[in-house]
Amino acid sequence: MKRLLILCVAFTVAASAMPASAGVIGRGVRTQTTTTASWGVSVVDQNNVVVNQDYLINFVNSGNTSYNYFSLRNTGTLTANTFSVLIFQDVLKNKNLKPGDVIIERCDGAWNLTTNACSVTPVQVATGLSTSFDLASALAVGSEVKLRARTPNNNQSIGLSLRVVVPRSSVRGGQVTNS
Amino acid sequence: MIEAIKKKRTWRPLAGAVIVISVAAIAGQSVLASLNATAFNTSAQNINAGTLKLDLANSGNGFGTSIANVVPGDVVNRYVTLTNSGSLNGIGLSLKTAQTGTQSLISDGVSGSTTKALKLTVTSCTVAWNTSTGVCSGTATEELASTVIGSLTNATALTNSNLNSSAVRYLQMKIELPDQNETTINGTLPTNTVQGGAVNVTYTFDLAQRTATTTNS
Repeated sequence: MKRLLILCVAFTVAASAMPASAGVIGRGVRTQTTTTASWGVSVVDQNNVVVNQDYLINFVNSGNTSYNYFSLRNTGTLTANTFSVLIFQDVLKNKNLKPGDVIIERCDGAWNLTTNACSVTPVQVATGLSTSFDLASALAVGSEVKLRARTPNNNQSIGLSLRVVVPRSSVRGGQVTNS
Repeated sequence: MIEAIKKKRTWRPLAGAVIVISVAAIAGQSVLASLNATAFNTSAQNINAGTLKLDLANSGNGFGTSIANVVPGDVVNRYVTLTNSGSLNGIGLSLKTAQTGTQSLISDGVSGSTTKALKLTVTSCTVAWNTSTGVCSGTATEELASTVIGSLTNATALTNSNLNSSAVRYLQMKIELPDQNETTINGTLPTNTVQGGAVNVTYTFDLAQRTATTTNS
């Protein structure tokens, strides 16, 4: 009984020593959503399929000049100013065509897939011997750069892989805004 | 003779009881008949409980507009105003946040290289901020040092934690995403990326009543 009494007294003392929690509180609450940007460029193949991995180009010895049409599409939410495309020679399929014989061209107009012609003069951006090429013109969100790879008519085979690399520096820098 | 004595003894208790009751009745009547005096206030005393109201209002966009397309290195300043519109002075002004969404934007990783999350700094100005330029033409005070947004789940006292009745606190809420490098390959975002994320942050400002006092007057 004595212990119980001591326990009660101790609890009362402790409870009264605690800060009061029953006071009035004024409260202001708001919720805000913050979203972050993304940057990236993907290859879109001739069938308009977005390829989110290394893009493989295999030229089989057909006896004719071969073409592979593809685009680079800005799939991020920011304009990409400069980005790189790395070129890897596919060793397994690099049978007998020199990588340097492959030419990668850009068409700033539209490719005619029937005549294999560009509506404006095409620009050579790399050969298969290159290890990379840069695209320095600003690519707006959702926009595409139209490219193709072609081989000469020499009846030989080769394989290439393309990897599109977009670093943080390709998009706008940090800004301070007040509103 | 003996019978007469017996009769006398029989009457004695009865007579005694009658006498006691009579005395009690007389005494009681005399009490009931005493004078009473009553004093009261002719007009009722008015006792009002104080009020404590904390109004949170947007100044400019404030919390009313989402923050979109943030990149590392961005600093987004939004402005809100706190007003104690109650009748009581307030103490213990504090802020806490609750967050849902992309984890990499909410809390940092273990190592220093994973300090990626959104950070919040709160600064007050003695006069209203210029919400277009971010200039405080009065005196600015850092109310909350730069803190990762996910570390504010417990109420954190602001530097100036008193807010008297009718007082206004002009706050700049500075949201920043630390500068950091990420490279996107083939359109695929890196793991644990800060890109393409979304966070809903609920800001809760609490103001407690002034300390209760005992007054004599």
